[in-house]
Amino acid sequence: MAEDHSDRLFGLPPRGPFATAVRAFRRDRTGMAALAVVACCVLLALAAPLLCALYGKDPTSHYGQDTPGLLSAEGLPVLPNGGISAEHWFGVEPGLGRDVLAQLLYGMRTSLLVATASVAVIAVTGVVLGVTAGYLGGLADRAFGFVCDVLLAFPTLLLLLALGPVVRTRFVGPGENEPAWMQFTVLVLVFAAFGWVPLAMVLRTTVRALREREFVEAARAAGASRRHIVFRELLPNVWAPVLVHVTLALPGVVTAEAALSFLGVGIDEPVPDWGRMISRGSEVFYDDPTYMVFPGVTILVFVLAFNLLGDAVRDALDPRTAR
Amino acid sequence: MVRISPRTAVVPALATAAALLMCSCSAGAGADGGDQGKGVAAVKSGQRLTATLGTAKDSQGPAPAVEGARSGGTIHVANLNDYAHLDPQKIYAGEGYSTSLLWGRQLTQYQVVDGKPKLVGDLATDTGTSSDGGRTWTYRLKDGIAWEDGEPITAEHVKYGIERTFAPGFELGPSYWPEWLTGSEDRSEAVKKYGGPRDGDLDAIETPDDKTIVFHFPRPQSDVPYMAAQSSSSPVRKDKDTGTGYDVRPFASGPYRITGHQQNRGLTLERNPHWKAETDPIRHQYPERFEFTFGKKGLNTAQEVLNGRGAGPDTVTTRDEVPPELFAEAGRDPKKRELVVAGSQGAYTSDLYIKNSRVTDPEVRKAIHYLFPREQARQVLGGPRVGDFATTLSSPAVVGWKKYDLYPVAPAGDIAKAKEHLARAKHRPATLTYAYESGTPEKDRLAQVLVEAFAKAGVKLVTRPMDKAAFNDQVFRGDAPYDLWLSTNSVDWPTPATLLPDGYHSRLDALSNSTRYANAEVDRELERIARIGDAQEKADALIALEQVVMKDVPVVPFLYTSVSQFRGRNIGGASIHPVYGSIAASALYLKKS
Repeated sequence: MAEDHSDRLFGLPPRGPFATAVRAFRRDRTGMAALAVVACCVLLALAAPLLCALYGKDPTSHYGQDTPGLLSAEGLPVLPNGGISAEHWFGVEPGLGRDVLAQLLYGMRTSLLVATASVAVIAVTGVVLGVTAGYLGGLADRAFGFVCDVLLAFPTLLLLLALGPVVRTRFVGPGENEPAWMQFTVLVLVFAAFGWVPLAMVLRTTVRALREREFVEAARAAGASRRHIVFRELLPNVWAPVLVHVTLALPGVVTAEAALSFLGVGIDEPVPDWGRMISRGSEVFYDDPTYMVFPGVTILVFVLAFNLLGDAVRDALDPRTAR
Repeated sequence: MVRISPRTAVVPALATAAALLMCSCSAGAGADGGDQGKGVAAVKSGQRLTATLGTAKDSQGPAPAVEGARSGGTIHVANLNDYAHLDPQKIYAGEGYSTSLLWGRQLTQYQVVDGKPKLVGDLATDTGTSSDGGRTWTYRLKDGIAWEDGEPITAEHVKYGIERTFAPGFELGPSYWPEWLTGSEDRSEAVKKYGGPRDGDLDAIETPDDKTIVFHFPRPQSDVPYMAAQSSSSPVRKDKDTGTGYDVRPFASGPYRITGHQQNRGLTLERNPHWKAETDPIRHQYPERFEFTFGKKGLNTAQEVLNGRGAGPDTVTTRDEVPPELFAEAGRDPKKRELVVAGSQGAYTSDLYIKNSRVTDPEVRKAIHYLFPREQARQVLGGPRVGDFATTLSSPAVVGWKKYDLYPVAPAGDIAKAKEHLARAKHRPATLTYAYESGTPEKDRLAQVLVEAFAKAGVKLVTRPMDKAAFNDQVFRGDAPYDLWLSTNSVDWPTPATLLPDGYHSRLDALSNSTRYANAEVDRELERIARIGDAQEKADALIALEQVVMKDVPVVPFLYTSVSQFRGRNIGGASIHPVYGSIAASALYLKKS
């Protein structure tokens, strides 16, 4: 496909690199399918309140406990297959009896919110630090390398496990709940604090190579300011690795967030969360395997689609990378 | 580096997803779960017990034989944790009391026949005789009682054991002997008068000869026979007292002796040749050995035992409970169902505690009583197997217990009635704080159940999850800013004597009176009751007082708790000890060996 792509290029009128990439992407059927799934997920997440209003359920009401006949005295769904019925399409949660479909839709919002916010911070930090270090070189570059090494060696999971209770006792008064935004902020900050390193390292290398290229030399000879060189000469040439990195980092953050919630240090009750749903599913797996399937399959499809999308974006932007 | 492209992974991944979907069809709980009358779920918790006092004739050995019991073989006991203490004067927990009966003997003990406990003389010939209005108690030791090296157990050994409870380092055990024998309000006051064996002889215990022990109490005491059954009333021989070493390997007086104890790994018991069945009305000596192993996860042990794999058939647990993951499965499969050993957890009750010094208005406390969603709360904790709904402060396992229901309410709670009481309250709280021990997800879910119920009544409930250490540390401080928490508690022995006096007098510290309940009338009555020497009169007065206390709703009764444990297919004689609330090890036998 790569050769095929470059052969055609010569026969066509010259296009910008972006247009070429879009064209290459459009021809990638897997990539387009992944994009469709991702778009569908984003749409579902954005429209979750509307969909739940139409569906007539909300993610926090304890339907199973308030309505007799849904859950047994032990808290297990009375109907087979996890209590799937016309009323509750994906069944009810064992124990609290919340609606699984509504939980899934709102859980997607949680995942996407954490992931997009983290990735946005990662992109900005990574670009700023990577380009700066690459362009300046010297002492700044060595300091950058040291910080990267330290951060790569940092035990992120342990930090989060230790940080949770500290934040709670330090910043939350005894008479108030820990606000949901605080949990989100802590997660986003931690993901961002460690997530920018790979991106910045890639950008640093790219910029170091670009710095020596003729067009930068020419700009410098023409007396362009440093600002001009960074913003007009270097940055336009690094957006491709940024885009690739961002689309591949997003599913990583989603799974990391689910893993943390599974361990009990992510997002707490009552905010719906996939990781916690899977954790609950594993507790009741022997009695109600259906409950594990919905969050499990959703997270699988969601992350797979994002990964495939990232893959396709990389192929389109960088045709030389052989698969 | 080998890179697996997501595209290569897509087919197997989707195939896995499809396979998962197909395998995930599950039967609902409706088939048998709804039928609550059957199966393991139908445990009667808080059975009405009368732990009657046995006669001198009941106190004679041997113990009534367990039907069908056989002798010989090795029983494996798998518990998650090792015993923190084996020193008889430091043991202070139901299961520790129950299991230590294998090697330790006390002045008195509970003889269990058909699940009914009867207090009889163990080392003593009877449960004790009192004179002088309850100020003097006399015990006579039996003939033929011996240590594991064959030396006879004498009155001096019993006295030395009790003297040890005064010594530094023994604060962990119950403080009744020091308090009673010196007539003190608490242990710290008592040890100023006598500081343990290093202060020489304790005058309050007299041993006129090798067989006679006389206790002299400054104030009348009615519950001495029950206290004499506690592990603290075990004899200890001075020449065998190895100090902290005694906590790892005590010297045996019961049917088994400890031949090896590797801490946190294992404990081996072998038959004690000097124990004579005809002196012991409580214990049996069926298996040859007991092998305790510690450290294996409860879920793994339960799976091994219920499925009969490996040593599973010969294995029993005295500490672990049936894990929630396996409970429904164990209920469905009749072969596994018969391996579940369930029963009332002694005299334990679980209540929603209210800090009375913070929630001062009784109308608000009544509102909490009405809105508390008992049924939903029990559902997230595991359903009927965790216990029956309680209406009283004390458990039905307590002697003289009377059923009462001062503010009847449906198990699901009554929000309308709660709102009425809130409207009547002079000071209506906008928010209340619920503190709980986090770590297990069902506690988080329980908090959500409470949040929803309080929200329906228009009160915002703030939830404060804390780890175990922080919870114990912070919630029981007098000035702790928490209004509600869930707690289980029990009496120290099945009479009401330790319940109200040790938890509801206003002068007690926040550790004992954690609700900070203060009622001058109750205080006066408790002080009057403390001077009563007659057991029956005292119990009656306390039972009557309980309703006066509960009229103020210092706590909301929740459950008479049950316990579900498990045994291997080959283990016989397993039942929950009616007083100690765990599988009684001393009646176990192997069906074939």
